[in-house]
Parts: sequence; C-alpha cells; structure tokens
Amino acid sequence: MTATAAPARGAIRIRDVVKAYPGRDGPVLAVDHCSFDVGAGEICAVVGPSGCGKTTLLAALAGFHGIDSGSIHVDGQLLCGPGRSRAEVGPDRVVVFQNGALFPWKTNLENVAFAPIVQGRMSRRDALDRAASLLAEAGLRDDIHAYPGETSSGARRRVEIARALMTDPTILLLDEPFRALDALTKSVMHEALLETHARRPATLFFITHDLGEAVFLGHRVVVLTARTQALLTDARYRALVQQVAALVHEEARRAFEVGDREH
Amino acid sequence: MSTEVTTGLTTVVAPRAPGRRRLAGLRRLDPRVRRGALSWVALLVFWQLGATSGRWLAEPLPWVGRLPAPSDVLAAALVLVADPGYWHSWLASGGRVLGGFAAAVLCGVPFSALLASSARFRGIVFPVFELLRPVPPLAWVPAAILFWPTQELSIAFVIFLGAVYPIVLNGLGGARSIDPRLLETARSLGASRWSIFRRLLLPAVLPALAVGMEIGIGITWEVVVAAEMISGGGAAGSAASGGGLGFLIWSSYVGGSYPQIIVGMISIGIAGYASSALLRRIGARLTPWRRESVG
Repeated sequence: MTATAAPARGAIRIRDVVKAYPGRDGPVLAVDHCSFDVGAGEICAVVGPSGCGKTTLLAALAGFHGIDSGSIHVDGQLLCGPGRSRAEVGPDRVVVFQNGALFPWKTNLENVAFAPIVQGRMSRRDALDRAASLLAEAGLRDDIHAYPGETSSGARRRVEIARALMTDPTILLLDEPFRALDALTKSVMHEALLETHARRPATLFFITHDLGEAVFLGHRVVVLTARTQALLTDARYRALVQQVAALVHEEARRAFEVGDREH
Repeated sequence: MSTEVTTGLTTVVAPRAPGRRRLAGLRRLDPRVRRGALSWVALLVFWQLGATSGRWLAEPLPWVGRLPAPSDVLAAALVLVADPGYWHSWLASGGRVLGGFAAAVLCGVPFSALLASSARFRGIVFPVFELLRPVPPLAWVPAAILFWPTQELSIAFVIFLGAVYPIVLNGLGGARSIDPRLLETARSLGASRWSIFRRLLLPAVLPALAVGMEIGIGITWEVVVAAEMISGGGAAGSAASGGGLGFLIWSSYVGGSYPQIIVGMISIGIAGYASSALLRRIGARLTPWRRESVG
C-alpha cells in the first residue's frame, strides 16, 4: 500500500445491535446482539451464510433501515442507537449494490457526476470534468460516453465505485459488488479496488460470500452467523491471513498474466 | 448473373452483368421492402380480380366480389385529392385527435405520477378509475353529447378517454417497476426529493410512458372515426366542409359512393400508422439509452 496519509475518519463501532423483521410467525431475528469494530480506513470483509444479517447491518449503516436496539457510532458520533432508531441517509456513507444500480438513462460519465450535481456542491461542468478524470484514473476512458447497458459488467462495477467515490465518502458500503463477475474479472477488480483504496482511503465495509475474496481483500474479516459472531482479529489470525493473502494474490496474478498472454 | 451476399438486413450486390439492370435494381432493395412490396402486389391483384369477378364469372365471388375494385378506388381517390373538402376532413379529424390526445397526455402523465407517488391518493382514486376503465370510450358518446356544450368538445372528450387509460396505466406500471435500489442509491448519493422525482422517476418512467402514448394515439384514431360517425361529423356536419374522415366514410356509405369508403379507410390507416410511427420515433429519441434493446 502506498504511503498515503492514514485517514483519521471512518472508524465504525457496532455495539449490541439487534434487528428483527416482522415474519409470519412473529418477528424474525436478523441481527442478534452483534458487536465489532472497524478501524478508520480499513477494509473490513464481512462473510457469513445467507440470512446471517450482513445486508441488514449494511442497510443500518447506510440508513435504509433502523435498528431495534444497540448502537452504531462512526468516529465517536452516534449514527443510530438510543434516541435515534435510524441513521440519516447521506453521501458520507455510499452503497454499491450487488447487481449494480447505475442509472440506465445516464451515460457512465453522467452517472459518476450525479452526486455533486444533485447536492449542488459543484457546477455541472466541474462535476463532469472531475468524473471524467476519475473514470480515466480507473482505466475507463473508452466507456465514458457509453450507457451502462452498453458497458461490460466489470467496467460497470468500476463505474459504480467511481460514482460512490465522487462524494468523498468516509465509508464505502459494498454489498457483494463482485458477485456476478467471472473469476478473472473478479481478480482484476480486486486489484483495481485495492489500488483505488490506496489512492483514496475510505473505510470499506465489504460484504461477500466468497471466503477467498474476504481473505484477500480484508484487513479484517468478520464472520457473521445467525446467532453468534466470531471475530477473526487476533494476531495469530492476522499472520495467517497475511500468508493466505500473499498466496491468493500470487495465484490471482498468475491467472491474470496467463489471461493476458492469451489475449 | 450477379452474386449476392446477404448480411442481416443489407444486401450487397456485386457488379452486375450488362442487361440485368432492372433485376439488379430490384435486388438492391432491402429484402424486407421487397417482401412487403410482394404482399402488396398480391393483395392488389387478388382484390382487382375478385372485385371484377362478376364480369368474368357467372356469380361474383363472395365478399370480395362486392368490393369496389382498386382501379375504381384509385379513380375516386384522384377525385377526392383534388377536393378541398377531403383535406378539410383530414384537418378536422387530425385536429380532434391532436386535441384529445394532448389533453390525455397533459392529464394522464401528472395523474399517473400522483398515483405512483402517493399510496393514499391511489387508495382513494384507483377503485373509481378501475371501475370506469372497462367502459369503452364509444359507450361515452351519448353521455358526452349531453355533457358538453358543443359537438366538437364531445368528440374531443371521447378521444381523450380513449388515450388517457393506456397512458395512465403504462405510466403507473413504469413507476412501480422502478428498481428500489436506484431510489436508495439516489438518496444515498444525496439527492433531494425533487431531484429524485426529476432525475429518477421521470426518466425511469419515460419508456413506459412512450409505449402508453403509442398505444393511446392508435386508440384515438379508432375512436375519432366512430365518434364522427355517431355524432354526425361535428358542427360542420358535411363532407364538403370537413366533417372528418370518419364522417367522410359514413356519408360515402349513406350516399352510395362505395369507392370513397375505401379511400376514407385507407386515409385513416395512413393517418394512424403515421402518427404511431411519429410517436415511436419521438419515444426512441427521448430514450437513447434503450438503443440496444429497441434496435
């Protein structure tokens, strides 16, 4: 990782969060007394079986849903908890969805420029300029004026991450962003994400089903289960992760190089 | 002989041999145009022979034997085209369609937006809307004549009814099928309610609205003709002063000039096709991101 100034912002503190949804036979517990921390600027990979509450936690962080009890703090400030059941939806915590949620009627460039324009933070021209340079940075110069429907799925995902980054979020919430991609594109995307993260450090809250992906990308891996949560953050685990990550990385690089040669 | 390479829609013809010019010219046409022309020629030949079958058979053929022949229709058309009354009929019907359709768009689009955005409004209004919807526009004609002070307004009202339902229903359907993640994304990126309406709801609904309008304008032509027949062509009330194309057909029938009926029918066919095609073109222009799926 490059020597960018370590961000002091985006530390998440989750304590005793409980969230239940109404079900046919009474409430269904989605998150049951969940507590963990994510350091500022960390990549936190959250894994676990379907229905373990990963997406519920993400929605609570984004402010799409409230929580029933417990609290979530960001940088010491109460996001939701006692006295505030639901976080405000805001551009400091942007979500990148599973299957992509680019606006199909806007070109990739207009999609990326969307946030500062609707927030009235930049003039249209400035926003488009900045968006173009961000897309060029992500290697998407050729896709700038295409509509998302005309863009490959890997490139669409990068456009979406660029769009989220336009708001300079402290926290980027990624809900299985690379799920539908093929293995090779996925490993390219991992590299791209790490590169982006090195350039523009934000806390990444990264939900995934893919353990390899979690281990490769995550500074911290949180395993959520329906009932209890195992936290893999101790030193022994971290050392192990480093080893595995190096191996996975090597493997991915080799696969990528083979792919390159075949081109 | 020229060699022909057909790739999808275009036909590329290699340099032709001398003396084959006309055939090669035909070949150069788009195959779709060629096939379409073929069916037209077949229809006209069948129609001409069938309509004149009384002259060369003992009995005229059923149905087609009673039709005026295309040659007679063409003669009638040439007469009509020179008659300003015929063009007044075009203007009268076109004006009614345009007026009723414009009113349907102006009312239908905001109405469907209200229905889509407020559950309370939908709950109050939709049951009545759903009850009135199956009533065909033509069933409204007598009531419309009673309601409205002038014939013109009654006809426009019936046309309005014909177009407004598909516009509202398509708009509502389009709004309800918006991916909720797009809404959440827009909110998460800091969009206000108004921005969401303008930058998300409107473009997201546009494709469905365009389809609704295309269906709606087709219905207006169905409706205007019948409304003119029933109401007697509005205030003017005569073909010469422009009672409309529907009135032209009806008065031709009453007056026994059968070829003129066919001319009127063809005119309406052309008008309906042209207005639908125009709206489709406008819709495609307004929704450029759908190039892929439309093309």
